[in-house]
Amino acid sequence: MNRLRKYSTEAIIGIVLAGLIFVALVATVGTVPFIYQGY
Amino acid sequence: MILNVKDVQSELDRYAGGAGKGPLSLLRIVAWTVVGLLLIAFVWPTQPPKYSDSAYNHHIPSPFSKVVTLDKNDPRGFLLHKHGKNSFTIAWIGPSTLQSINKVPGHTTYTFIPADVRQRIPVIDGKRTYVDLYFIEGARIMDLYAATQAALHSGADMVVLDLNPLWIYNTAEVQGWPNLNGITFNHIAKSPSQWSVGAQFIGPADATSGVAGKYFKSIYNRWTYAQKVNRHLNWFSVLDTSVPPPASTKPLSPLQRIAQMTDPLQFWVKYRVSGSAASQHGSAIERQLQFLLGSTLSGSTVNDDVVAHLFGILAKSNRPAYVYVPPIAPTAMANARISAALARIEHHLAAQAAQHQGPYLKVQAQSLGRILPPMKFNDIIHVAEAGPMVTYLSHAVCNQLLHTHSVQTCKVLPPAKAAP
Repeated sequence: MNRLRKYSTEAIIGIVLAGLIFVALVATVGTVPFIYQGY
Repeated sequence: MILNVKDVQSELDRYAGGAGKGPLSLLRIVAWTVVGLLLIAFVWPTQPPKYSDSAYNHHIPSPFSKVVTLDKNDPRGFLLHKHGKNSFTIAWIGPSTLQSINKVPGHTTYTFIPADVRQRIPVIDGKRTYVDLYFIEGARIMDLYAATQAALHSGADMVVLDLNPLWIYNTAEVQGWPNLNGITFNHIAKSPSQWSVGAQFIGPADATSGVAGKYFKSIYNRWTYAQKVNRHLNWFSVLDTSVPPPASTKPLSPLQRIAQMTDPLQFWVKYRVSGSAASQHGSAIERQLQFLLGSTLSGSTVNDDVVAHLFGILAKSNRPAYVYVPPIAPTAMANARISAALARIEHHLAAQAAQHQGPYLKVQAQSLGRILPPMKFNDIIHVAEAGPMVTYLSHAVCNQLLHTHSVQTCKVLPPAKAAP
């Protein structure tokens, strides 16, 4: 029982960590269009 | 009862069964993180980018020439497809000088010089010619280096590089497309000779995301995800754009002008590049001239280092490469000061090219404006009618391929017989 609790917690932490990494990387990519000014 | 951190720890351990305690448990968490990152791309797949995503490709009707550059913020950099065995691919790299825009009342012609060259050389060595345009608006020297690395790693059969003389040795801005850092890191990771130039531009975040992007689609395609997410996030914005206020007709104060700037370079241009009063409200042409005159030719700038590496990788690539300097408008060249400034840049470029010679590399350091008949320009660097330039470059490409014995046949068609 204790082992199951341990493994399931590890899975949750890992998946949440993946989600956080994904959100952080997506949030730091700019999507504002580039306006060329001729130089 | 919880009295201290130790009690918190034991309480957590009781609920979590001791997760995170010990290296094996940490390893399992990392494994689950990897699974999570893989799962995101599986559960929420993205459409791969298409050539038609680039507005520039709407100006190129030919299916054999395409702008392969993605959005300026997109860390994927370029959209590259293999064109098959019976194809000869030219990777043509350059800034806005690759365009030819002729505005006449009622009719504007917008073409890309490499696409026009492709029409004159539809077949090379019995194979269909494809031109991948690494077209980078406002490219600075490091951006051209990054694109050259990408082109060499794409498996292109030939590389052609356009070096805008305004920016080769101008230290005011050395890089404009830092989104390419991640893929550039991947390209130079196995080439220690390139690490010195990479270390000057590529940060730990670029390196990490570049490597992670190689293995995880969810990270590689993050720009597409960001676009999707931002569409929904706008709902939370407090900025009401439904009824924009009328544009003010009053002249802006100096402070308001600074507030409108979106790039440090704009501040630099306005206040530092030139002391002349004209530059304070100068036109794009005046600014372009300032950039040309402001080149630093000491031989010890970052630009020198990047150019040296650029020529180095092309010389060692063992595939045909042709580098040229696009023309400056005849009206500007009539000014002895500008002509002399360009001559100094040409001389410096030729000296650097001489240090990095290769059997397949040719550097045409003299500006094409000194060789070709006068052409119509939109400003000092952007041509409006590129006919002579297209003819010259078509022959230059074929000559380079034939002289290096890279191909057996390469024939330039006359303009009237140009293929679509």
